[in-house]
Amino acid sequence: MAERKYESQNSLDPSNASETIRVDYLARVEGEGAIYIKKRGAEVDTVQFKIFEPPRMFEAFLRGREHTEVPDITSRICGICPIAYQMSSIQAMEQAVGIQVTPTIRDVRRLIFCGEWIESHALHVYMLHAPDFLGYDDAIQMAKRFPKHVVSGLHLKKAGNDLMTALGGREIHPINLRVGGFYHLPEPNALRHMLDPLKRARDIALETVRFVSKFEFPDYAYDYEFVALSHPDEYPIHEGRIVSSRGLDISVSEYLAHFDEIHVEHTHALHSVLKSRGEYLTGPQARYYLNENKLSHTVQEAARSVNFTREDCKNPFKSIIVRSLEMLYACEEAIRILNEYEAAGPSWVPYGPRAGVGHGCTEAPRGILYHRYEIDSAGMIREARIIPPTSQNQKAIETDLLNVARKYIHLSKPQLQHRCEQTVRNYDPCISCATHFLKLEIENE
Amino acid sequence: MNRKLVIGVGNRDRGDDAAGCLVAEQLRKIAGGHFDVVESAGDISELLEYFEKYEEVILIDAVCSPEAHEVLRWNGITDRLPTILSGASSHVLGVAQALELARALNLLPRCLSIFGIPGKEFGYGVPLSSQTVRHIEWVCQQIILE
Repeated sequence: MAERKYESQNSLDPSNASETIRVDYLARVEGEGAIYIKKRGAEVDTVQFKIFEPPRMFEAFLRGREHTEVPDITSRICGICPIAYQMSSIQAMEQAVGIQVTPTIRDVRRLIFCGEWIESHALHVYMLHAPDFLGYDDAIQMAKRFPKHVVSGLHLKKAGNDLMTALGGREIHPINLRVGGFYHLPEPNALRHMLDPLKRARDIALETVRFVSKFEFPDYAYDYEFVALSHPDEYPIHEGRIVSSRGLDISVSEYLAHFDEIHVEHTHALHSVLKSRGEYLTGPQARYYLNENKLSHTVQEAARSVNFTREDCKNPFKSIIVRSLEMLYACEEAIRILNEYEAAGPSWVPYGPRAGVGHGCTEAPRGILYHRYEIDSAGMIREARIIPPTSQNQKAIETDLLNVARKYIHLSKPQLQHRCEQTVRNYDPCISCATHFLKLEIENE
Repeated sequence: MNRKLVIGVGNRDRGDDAAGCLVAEQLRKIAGGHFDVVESAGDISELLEYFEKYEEVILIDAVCSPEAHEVLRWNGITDRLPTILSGASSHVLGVAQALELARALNLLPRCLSIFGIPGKEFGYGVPLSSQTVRHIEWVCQQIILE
């Protein structure tokens, strides 16, 4: 494996009181953010993960719009996980108007969600995260030494993209999802051609698990409160109760009774906390930790074969293994649904608008995504609330940064800088879908 | 299937960024079956799939550069590509990065010609600038002539 070349003379010397580390452009992290680390002598006493991305006002855009517009508007929040935004909003609206979809519609929703997990995880694992572990600045550099693996990652991503296109009309901001179901359900024969690529993708995902499990992981662990959806019969993707590793077990409708958003001066994004206990972590590690027994035999066997256990979820650097296992699961699940798929019944459930409140929560690739809407009797949106996973994880990111900076403060400046960037990338944060700008500043006092 | 493909890269909802898509749209009407034409958002896996299938590729994309006023051209095989080609978010590799990745993977087609159409307005839903309209016509003519 290639080695990063660091200049050891730049080590953070505790005796150097004016030393500052600044990273003006951090690639492979989504959105506009910064890290501020303050040292007192040899101790790190303050870490701030700052998001200075301007507010995007989506909740305000939604007020006064038809409730039927919500999937098309909310999908624009993210180009990499639009299905999660569409599904959380659609399910909230369906609860508000009091309808339940058919089993077929439910299956197709799970199927397109599998596509999103595959393409999002493949992108992060191969293009954004793996270079950290292999000592490269980006996937282009990595591709020169590991071409077979990068090509495999691109094939995986394409399998996910194709699934989204086949079911959603297009891979970015799909247009076929609506309140009540789909505008059009594809004929089974029209989806059969997806099977072979998905079987190949499944094989690649299994290889990916083996590949990434050989990486060298920093020796770090933290006892997070994991929060994820949980479903009695399946690994959670688009439905379930909200549970945690410390006993939380609530319906989606109870979310706001247990979670709070608080304004923190140094960031534009609200921090989420559990009202009773504070910070928590959502995302692949939480899903796996809380739902390992719902994974297929193949996935559980793959985890065993690389000696990955639930306890490994407490090392955030190993999130790359969890994403790989989830890709394997999503491929298998997609194949299962495709094999059983029959386009029976209507593509959407008819209904009439009525005044009501609805809540929706799905597992975006990065964690739980909560939506709440209030609509009037004409179906117009009166209130909207959207709480994305990255904002929920901000406190956990700051905790990791603090602990990692303390643990590795002895490293050279470039090494510490890289380790801090990697710590943020563990979360695959999606601060926005516009720019990528993260400034890291470490200041001695 | 033809051995030659024209790829129009862009976003139709972002002003002059639609240039590549509109070149593709016009060429599709007049190509007369001499080459295949597709539109693309520039997704890396999609571009690589095209590169595998076609020996000769012409790629058209908008570029964002205050200094550029005329259509820019590159030989995708021999030239180093500037980052002004479809800079995008970190979750979507830009076209220049995608092409560099294809180069690293030895997956570029035998011939790759790139047109960069300088844009002025890239806002949401804004109309094409008059300069871009002219450039689109010129690029279409060049591709037909060549």
